[in-house]
Amino acid sequence: MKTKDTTVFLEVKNLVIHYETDNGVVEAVNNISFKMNRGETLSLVGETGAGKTTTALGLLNLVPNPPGRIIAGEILLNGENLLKMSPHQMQKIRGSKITMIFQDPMTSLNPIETVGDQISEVIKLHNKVSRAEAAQMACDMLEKVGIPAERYGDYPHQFSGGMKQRVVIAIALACDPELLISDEPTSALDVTIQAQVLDTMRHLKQELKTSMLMITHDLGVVAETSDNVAVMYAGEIVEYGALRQVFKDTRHPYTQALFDSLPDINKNVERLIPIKGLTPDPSSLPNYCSFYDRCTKRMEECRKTDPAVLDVGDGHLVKCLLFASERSSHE
Amino acid sequence: MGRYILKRLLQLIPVLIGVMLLAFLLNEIAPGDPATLLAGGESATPEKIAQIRAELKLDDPFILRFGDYVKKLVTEGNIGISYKTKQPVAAEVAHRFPQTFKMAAISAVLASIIGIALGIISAIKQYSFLDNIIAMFSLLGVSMPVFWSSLLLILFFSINLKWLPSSGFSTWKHWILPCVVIGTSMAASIVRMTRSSMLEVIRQDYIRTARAKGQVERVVISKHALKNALIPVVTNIGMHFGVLLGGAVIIETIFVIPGIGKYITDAIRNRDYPVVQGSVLVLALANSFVNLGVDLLYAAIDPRIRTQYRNMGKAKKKKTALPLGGKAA
Repeated sequence: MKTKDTTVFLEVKNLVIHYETDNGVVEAVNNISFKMNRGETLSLVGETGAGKTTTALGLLNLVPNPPGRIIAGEILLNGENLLKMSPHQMQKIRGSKITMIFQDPMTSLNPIETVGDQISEVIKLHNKVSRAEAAQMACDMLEKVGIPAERYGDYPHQFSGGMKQRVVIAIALACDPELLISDEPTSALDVTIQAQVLDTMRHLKQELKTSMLMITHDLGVVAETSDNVAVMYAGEIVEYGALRQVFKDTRHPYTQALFDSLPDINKNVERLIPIKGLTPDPSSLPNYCSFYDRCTKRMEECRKTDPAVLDVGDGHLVKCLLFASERSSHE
Repeated sequence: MGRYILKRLLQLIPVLIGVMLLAFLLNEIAPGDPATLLAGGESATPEKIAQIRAELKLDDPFILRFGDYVKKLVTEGNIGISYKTKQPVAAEVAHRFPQTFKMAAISAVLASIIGIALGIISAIKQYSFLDNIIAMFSLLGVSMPVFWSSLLLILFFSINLKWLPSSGFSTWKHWILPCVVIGTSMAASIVRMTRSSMLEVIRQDYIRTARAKGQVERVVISKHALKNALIPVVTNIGMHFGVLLGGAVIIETIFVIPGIGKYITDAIRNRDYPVVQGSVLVLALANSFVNLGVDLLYAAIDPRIRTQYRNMGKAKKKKTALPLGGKAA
């Protein structure tokens, strides 16, 4: 079990996604790149509006259009560029190879279809099975996520929030996906249910050997679930690395600030340390470092150029000028 | 569900009593005197008028007459005898109502098909050229008075082209023009309702879920979006249909169709109270059934409403059971 298949199966290259509204262009995702190995969990962390969900929708080519548009970049799944695929080819990928668990389970299920039908729908779409077989498989899926199969014919309004999220998970995992994207799967649930749902997800992920892209702003969830972490700020990945690298060897001032703003139960502090200021307006991003205005370690040079992404050692990437000199010493 | 329907049917009784009382009262306070009109107008002798008043029992107190009316209705099923023709209202209504119903039903079906189809196209092609064209036509349909569009259509199809008859109701050809006129004006409002309802539903998260499953767009729209968007549209259609059952007086007049609308307006003009009374009662009944039909249609579309109906039946049971068995449970 421990032997990791380290082949890269998903590669995102220079992805740019904009929302073109009447009030200007919102630059939601700016030139982000990352790779995922089979079986690994990558967490995308960042504040609201950092472009995490847009990135995820981009992977499924489901960015609402209009106003959203994928401007540039490549998304390679097993070497094939998803952005070059026809709508029909993309429909075959969605729901079978790449699936998604959405943020709000309350609204993610069709209120007038039975939960069983909603699960068997995806099974029928991607497998050559009869109606009865699909229903049987849907029942198995329900059992897997911890819902009795007898509830196949029930409607979403007869379920609690946590149960609904389990149904959404069942839909996402029904066709044995290669990549499971989960967009803040627990932020709409209360804390006790969060733990249960995360547990179910982790368990099934191991059982099905699915890779997972976890979108969250909960660093606790990240620590529990991820192999790698990408920290997003204003549509860019500002720090990327293995969980250990990012958590124990934090480099970027923004990541550091995120950790500093967490409460620490070992220390007796009156107030938490917030990150001062607000994220920059994504419709008018500066042409220098986008974190400059809030950065505590800013330098004169930071206002002059947009920093390049640097490898500070062993695949640990940081987009900050502070480490420009360090990199030169590496070389 | 059967329980719910039974409950709704029982609710009809107070509704109908209320409607009868209101219609009676309105006739009572309306100016004009049926006896004077029947006697031949202002020139009639007071004796003649008094005689007719006595015959029609118009001098009896209001409560007595109302009681008499309800008694006849319940015991004989008689909804009134026309002052003017001395014919039972029921017979005349039975003759006219089917014409009105036919016109209303054909128009409503026509309008629903066209309206919903165009509404969906409008919504999924939002802001496109097609959407604008449809919006323009629906605006035209809503704002164009029916008498004017009727006359234009008669001018074109009956007089110039001589394809369709301009009045009457004997063959299916006669029904085309009136139903098209009513249908298009109704379709116009259904288009707008369907469009806005679809646009709202398409933005919902569960539509994104359906797309994320890899479902083809056609099924996403027809299965997931349309069914959810249909509830306000069904309300709209039901409302229109109810109004149409009351008779489309202008259309009936233009196309010379003996419908119920014209019957009632003529009766009001003649102060023929029993006719007004009886027709209003029939219409109230018809409207109540349309409403019940719409409510049942909701339940067929939306399981949440189904649960609600089921609980309505149970709620009463629980209330009575609580004081006794509340603690045991």
